[in-house]
Amino acid sequence: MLSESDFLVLNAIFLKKVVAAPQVAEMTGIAVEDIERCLEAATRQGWLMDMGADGVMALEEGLAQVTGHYQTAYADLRSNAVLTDWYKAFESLNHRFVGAVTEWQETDSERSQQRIMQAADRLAQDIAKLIPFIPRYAAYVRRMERSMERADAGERDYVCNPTVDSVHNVWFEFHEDILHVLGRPRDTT
Amino acid sequence: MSDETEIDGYKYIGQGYNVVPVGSHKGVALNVTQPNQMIALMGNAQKIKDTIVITPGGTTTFVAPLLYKKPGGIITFGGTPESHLGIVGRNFRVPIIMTLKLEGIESIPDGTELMMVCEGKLGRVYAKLPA
Repeated sequence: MLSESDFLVLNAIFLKKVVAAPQVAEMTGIAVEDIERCLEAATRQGWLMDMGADGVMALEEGLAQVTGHYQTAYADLRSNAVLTDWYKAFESLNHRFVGAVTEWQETDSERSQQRIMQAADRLAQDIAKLIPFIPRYAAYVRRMERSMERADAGERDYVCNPTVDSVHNVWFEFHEDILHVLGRPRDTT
Repeated sequence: MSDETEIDGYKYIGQGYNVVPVGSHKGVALNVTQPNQMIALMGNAQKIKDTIVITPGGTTTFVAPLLYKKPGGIITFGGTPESHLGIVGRNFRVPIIMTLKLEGIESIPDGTELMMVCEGKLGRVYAKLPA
């Protein structure tokens, strides 16, 4: 099993797909120098591919390390009724969220941005309830609140631009994360 | 929206949900079903731009890395534009047609020259198929 800090770094790459050390630092709160050491070691082991200025991408063995860690670390949580019930409620919130983001992209309306922010605020509160089970989820709450503040302040990229730590990016990565914690396949949303 | 059955030698093969109105785009089909196929493609920047990736599901899991590299297009056989893949694809303005319903053929072989017409709610796909 990976160390907690190696998992945090490799999981950030797993979720973000292609990412550089400063973005991993933004996601995890780990120092850039420590991340770079982890990335160099993982690249030497054949777990990551260097993508130049874009950062790194996980190779098959790197993907297997991360999914294997999820399986081992969260085996006991997969049958926990609190988490499975939590996920059922999340599915409905997720449906509302992706609908609101799609509407915002197509209409740019204030009403759809309000719906996005209401859903994001609700998710941040809901994720906080999972922190006793999965302490690292505190980072999602912190990131979501930061992205919402920037979007509310008029920085439109922080609504759903994939190249910054936008509300949609944080949401999407969290969704991917909780699916792997629970060992569920992603549906088409 | 165009509803021709043939455009410039490309024959109509089906339609699906259009994610973003970006007009007509041509490329070469590549079916991607496994992560190692995606990884191999990611190492070839020029090929990505010329490739229309065909993937069975409608999720971002396989294709998200490619979106950052602006592929020629993406065709899925599942999912809807109201999804994470739709949202990210709309941002990058990559031609994406989701839940393609093929007409007259069962699958799109690798190497097939394709044209995606991404206008309106439904996107149409055309192919240069052997006679």
